[in-house]
Amino acid sequence: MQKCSICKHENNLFSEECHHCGSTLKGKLDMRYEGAGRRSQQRNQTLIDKVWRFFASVRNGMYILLMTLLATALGTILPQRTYIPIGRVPQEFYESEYGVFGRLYHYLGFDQLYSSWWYMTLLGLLGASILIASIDRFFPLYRALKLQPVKRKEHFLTHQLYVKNKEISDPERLIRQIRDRRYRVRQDGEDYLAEKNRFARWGPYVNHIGLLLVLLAAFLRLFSFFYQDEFVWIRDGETAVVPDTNQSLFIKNKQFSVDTYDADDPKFEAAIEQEGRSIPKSFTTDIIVYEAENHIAGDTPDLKVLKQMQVSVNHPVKAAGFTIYQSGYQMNEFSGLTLRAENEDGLTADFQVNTEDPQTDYELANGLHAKLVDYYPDYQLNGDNIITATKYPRNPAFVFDISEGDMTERLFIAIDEVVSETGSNKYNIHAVDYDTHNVTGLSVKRDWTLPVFLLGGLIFMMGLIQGLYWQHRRIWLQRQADGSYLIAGHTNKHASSFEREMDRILDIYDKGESG
Amino acid sequence: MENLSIISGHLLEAAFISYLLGVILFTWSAAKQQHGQLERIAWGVTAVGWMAHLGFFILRWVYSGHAPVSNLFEFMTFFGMMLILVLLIMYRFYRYSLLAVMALVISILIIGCAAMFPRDVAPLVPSLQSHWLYIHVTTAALGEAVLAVSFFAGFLYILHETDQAIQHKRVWLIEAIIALILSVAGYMLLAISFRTFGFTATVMTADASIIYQLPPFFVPSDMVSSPFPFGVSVPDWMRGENAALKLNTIFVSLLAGCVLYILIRFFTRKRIGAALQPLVRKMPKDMLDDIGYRSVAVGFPIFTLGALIFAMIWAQQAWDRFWGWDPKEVWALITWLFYAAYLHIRMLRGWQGIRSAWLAVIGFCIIMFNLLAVNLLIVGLHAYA
Repeated sequence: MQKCSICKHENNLFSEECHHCGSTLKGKLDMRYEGAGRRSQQRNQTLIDKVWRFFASVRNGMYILLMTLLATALGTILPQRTYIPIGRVPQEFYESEYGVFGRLYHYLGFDQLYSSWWYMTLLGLLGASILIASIDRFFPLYRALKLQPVKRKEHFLTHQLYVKNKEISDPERLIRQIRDRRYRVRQDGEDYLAEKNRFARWGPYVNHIGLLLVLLAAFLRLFSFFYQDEFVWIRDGETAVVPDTNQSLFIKNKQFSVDTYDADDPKFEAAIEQEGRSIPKSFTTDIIVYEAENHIAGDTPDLKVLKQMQVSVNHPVKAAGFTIYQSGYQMNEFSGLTLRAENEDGLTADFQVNTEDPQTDYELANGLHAKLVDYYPDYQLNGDNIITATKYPRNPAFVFDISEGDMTERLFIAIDEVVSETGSNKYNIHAVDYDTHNVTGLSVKRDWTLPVFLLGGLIFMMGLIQGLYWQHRRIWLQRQADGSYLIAGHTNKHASSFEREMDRILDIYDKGESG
Repeated sequence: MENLSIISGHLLEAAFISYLLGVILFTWSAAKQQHGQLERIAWGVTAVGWMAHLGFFILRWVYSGHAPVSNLFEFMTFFGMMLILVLLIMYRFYRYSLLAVMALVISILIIGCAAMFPRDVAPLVPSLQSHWLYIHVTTAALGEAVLAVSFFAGFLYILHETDQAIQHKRVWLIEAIIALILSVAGYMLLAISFRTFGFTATVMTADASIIYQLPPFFVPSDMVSSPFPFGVSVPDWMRGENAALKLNTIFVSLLAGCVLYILIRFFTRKRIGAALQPLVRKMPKDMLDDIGYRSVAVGFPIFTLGALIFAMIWAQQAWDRFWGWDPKEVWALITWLFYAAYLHIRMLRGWQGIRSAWLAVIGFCIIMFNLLAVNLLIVGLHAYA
């Protein structure tokens, strides 16, 4: 505690002005960087000095941080483009869902805010601020603490947080007290400097190194050299090549399976009923990973089994330098359809269509002929337009020209609807049978930035704990001319607990004195 | 086995009642302004309540087979439990009854609101089946609970520092915060009483029927019939899922908050801030400032570890990417950026004391926003919790 010289109000040791009357308290030394001269304070001539000075300022750093914060929040007002329903056109989606605001949001590019040039710039500025502010402070502080003498000027000591004048008859015993509290004590003549946890002062710089590593990793991720993200859909029993691996990596889906929770389980009954549908328990694919041997372009390569394994959600597996994740599935995708064409007179003809790779012409029985004009593997209505959401036959639709002699009619055929586009309604085609298969979606990734991110995170945590869970405390004992001791103390934070520690040390010493 | 679930439910009720008792005892002890027996009893009652709460947590874990932190009900009750744990520990160092009252009130409101969400034991979907579920969620909740202490201290600091006669803007901000807290209390009271009396209103729309647990003031624009004589159609631009229902809940809560506020003012005959001030006046405000800073200094690393680092490790495993700009992730980042700013801004001249206290209040609002609003207003991957 320090007393205000005017109103006698007791103030916190760290207070700069009296909380009661507002008058400036007796000047404390600014001990934040040991009063060491920093480059940003000394030089301000060249452009580099000015830039350095700008980024070295914590205040400017905070402006950048707060701008980043606001920009980050801005991106959550509407969903980002990656989260809008598959198959929707962004411009149309934002306008139809959110009106004028949505249109503006999309127009300003806020739907892809986190990859925008200006958001990246903000992160870059933040990184510059962290780097320069740290360098500007660390080296002067390090030197000042390394070279600090035991003997200090009286002005220095009397302007510390904790100051006391005291008769000490047995300094050795007091020093033992201090040592017991894990202080390291240096002596110079009859003066002492006790210090502990100096390493806590490096905490901020250590955590800033961690942060810079994280930002560096994020920067490296801008270059495709450092990572590879692939995704393959593989049908049950089939083998697919992993894209962009130079035709060297193949994965076979032996069997994909979905397990669901038992709806009669008394434990989960209520929740499953609330959900209204069965709740999945696991998504698992049995896979075989192959490596291509003696690969010659255009040839079917010889496959060598690398590994047989099981991949499921939350349990990715590693093979050939890649990590394979279970990250999608498609039940009952169509592999083939049997369509039945019918004319006015009731004459029918069945024909098979391969949904993976349909033929264009079908010569049918009864003199009918079908010509495939258009094919939508995963058809969806987008306003008035027919589009295909994906290239996978999940909801196939066809446009056929069906002809009999010189009569021709154009028909649109989906699984559960038929629309005549020419309006004559003489012919009809509908699905009578189909084969389906299950498809597993595997994400195959390799990312060399991950270890950098992880290392950055670890260093950041270390620095945080080092800087925030310990305090750098110092006690100076200086013998005065009259034989008493001037005791001064400093801590870099949490003044009240330091004050308690000081009082305790002196208290125990006093008790020992009398006893 | 069925019994476990029932016992665990009763334990939560017991904890809730102990906490209510704790509030009363701590308030009483704060009003008496003396340390002693009463305080010890209050601490004891709260501690017993916490043991019951822990019992609820353990039994539910045993019964369901997974850590009960997988939906909003479970997460919020767990967050409430962490708040009390932090309070019980902190109280050993800083014996201020009012801090305990703040922590208990917020915890009670959170647990009360939690009970309004579906309470059934739900099975875990595949992406949640990981040890990281409880590692990530518990650390994040603990971090948020420690950070919340800075709000308790900050709010008391502001109450202490405000001159009720002069500083009108600040005075009204305090009243607004109190009214907001009362709104949550009002919502809880209304929802509990309506549930006890089995009230529901079914509003029919063109293609669905929506069940309201509260009186339907706001109804969808395509409403066909409502059991309530009047209903305001929600504006056309509110198109989110259940927009009418959510707006209605917010409106009824604010209404209830205002009614409670007026009722209390009727008894106190002055602003609630002014009525509370005598309780706060004796508290050493420098100590409050210290506690606020300390709680951020302790909570920030825990929050970083739980809500960002563990979260990212798990996301990489379950969703094959450690970061995907999902709203909940983004708001955890915003919370983190905010408290990072808090720690730096405090170093600047003149930003200790009252300004820090306001920052702590804003920080808690961000945490609460991430807890509730992101789930209810913004749909994302964390839809379950």
